[in-house]
Amino acid sequence: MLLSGRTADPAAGETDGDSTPDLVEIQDLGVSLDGLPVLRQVWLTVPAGQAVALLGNNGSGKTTLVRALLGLTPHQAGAIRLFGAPAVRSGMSRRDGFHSWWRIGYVPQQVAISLHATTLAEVVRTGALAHRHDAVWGVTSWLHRRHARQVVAQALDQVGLTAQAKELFIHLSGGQQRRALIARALAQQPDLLVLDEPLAGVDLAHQGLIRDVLAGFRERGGAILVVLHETEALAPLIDRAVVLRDGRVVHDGPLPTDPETHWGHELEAPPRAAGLMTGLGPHWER
Amino acid sequence: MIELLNLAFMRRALVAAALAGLTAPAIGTYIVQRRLSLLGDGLGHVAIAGVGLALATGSAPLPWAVGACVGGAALIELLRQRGRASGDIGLAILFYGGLAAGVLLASLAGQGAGGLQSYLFGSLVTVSPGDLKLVVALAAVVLVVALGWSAPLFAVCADEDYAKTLGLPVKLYNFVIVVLAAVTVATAMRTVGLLLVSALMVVPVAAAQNLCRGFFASLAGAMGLGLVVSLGGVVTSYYADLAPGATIVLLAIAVFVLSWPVSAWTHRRRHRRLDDPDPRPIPHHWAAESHQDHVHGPGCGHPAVEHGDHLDYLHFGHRHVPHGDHHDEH
Repeated sequence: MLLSGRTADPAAGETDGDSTPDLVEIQDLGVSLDGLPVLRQVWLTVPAGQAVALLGNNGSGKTTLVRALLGLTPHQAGAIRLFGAPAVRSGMSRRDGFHSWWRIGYVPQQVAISLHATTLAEVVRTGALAHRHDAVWGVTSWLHRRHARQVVAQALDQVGLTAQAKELFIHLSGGQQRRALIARALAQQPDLLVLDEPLAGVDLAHQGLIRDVLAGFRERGGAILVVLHETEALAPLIDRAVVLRDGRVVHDGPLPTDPETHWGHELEAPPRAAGLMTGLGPHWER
Repeated sequence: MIELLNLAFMRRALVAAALAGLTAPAIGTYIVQRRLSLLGDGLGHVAIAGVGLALATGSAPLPWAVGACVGGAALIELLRQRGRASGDIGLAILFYGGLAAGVLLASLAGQGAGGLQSYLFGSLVTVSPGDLKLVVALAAVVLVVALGWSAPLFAVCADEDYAKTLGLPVKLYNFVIVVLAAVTVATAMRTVGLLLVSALMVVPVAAAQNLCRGFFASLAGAMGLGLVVSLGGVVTSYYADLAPGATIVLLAIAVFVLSWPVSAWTHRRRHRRLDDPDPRPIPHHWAAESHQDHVHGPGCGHPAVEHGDHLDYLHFGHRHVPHGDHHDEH
């Protein structure tokens, strides 16, 4: 009933008789924070296997859109469907609603401060929790431990942090922490990765590493929704770009070749540059 | 040592202390991870109201303390989940209201604040056989839940938003943590005392974090340290005729102080190892993305920044410099 006769993506055309639903389908979404409208009439789809970039200035509503999609921020208008099922708002339970949250791997923009005293492996292992079907009555889930260990080892290997597995999170560099959060999401073995500025404050070599990780995920058939401030590092990966301005979608199509011409004067290059450079190490001094 | 075990009240005190020494750090590890180190102290205040009520009605204090404490904990968590700014003030009112109500009820019962003293600071002779049964049962529940659900409870305490996106019942787990903390506080009332139990929830955890690496190692370490200081404290207080709660807490703090140099030493050693360069070093000559007919230079529209003997051009947060037919990242 939920998967009834909708094509995945008009652009992709009908690949076979069984059309798969869009992984994310946001219709006419409206979100207000403390009474201030942040998102207005937002439409967004992420078809299976596509990598979609979400672009826009600071304050354009990118992070709010991601949080609303994940159920972390309530929405006041519109509808969100995930994997063909209506997303269940917090506090409500609907039998036909979306419950397979493990299928969406979330990589937040900021590292929660309470992660500091934990080891990298412990952090990544929380992602593998998604496979416990009985998360509440979890005693039997000890049986899943071996499986979880394999999944964690695999995820750490993918982001190149196997050697650091036993290190405390706070002892990792900024780029390593970001890759650790990606590994945590990968440990869910998700079908969709939702990343909020995964490259912010990461130097070029490590941007390349993250790009390789995401490219590998896409090759395995995964879909990606990624909030970006600058698209260069990930440009080869991106199938489609959605640009937000003042909480509305102003562009939905191919990646703008030069974002500066697209956004015009609204892009604030100098402050962004200053912020990036303070986060960079001695590699930049020549 | 043998004579000590011959005394029935000391056997009960030792069992109760051992259970407090295991449960308080076990639940305390989650509390510390959630940065709510002072929650136990507040819950202790609320439990005093239960004790006062029991004194005023002439019934056994422990069940009343457990009830008041669990009720207070549920209220605190509701305040936290519902309200935002008012939560802080709400907590303060709840905590001091509990303390004041306890003292008032105790004085109504004709005991005054002095009647509360053994509950506030612990006392070896007051653990009755009935108390012990309740303490053992409640401690078993706390340990089974705190260890059996350790993985999802850790996930919720470490990163609440992420745990929500996993679809974990975060609100339920948060409730479980504060209710377990409340039960722990109330059951430790007889040995450590309501005003000092919070220390047993926090200090062994802090010491274990100095000695062990990671959450689960700290959880086990804190429980071990808690057990040792509780039993050691009870035995010491018996022979030296000291207040047991104070002895246990001071022992725990002594362990914490001793753990400092160990932590500093391992930290230095680890730091030296981590200073190794990343496996993929940045090449000296790193080509920037192509610019499609745009060559950076004076008047190209991009801000220029001095960099040694040349100028870099800021392009989307990157410093670019023309080099032959391409640009370099600087």
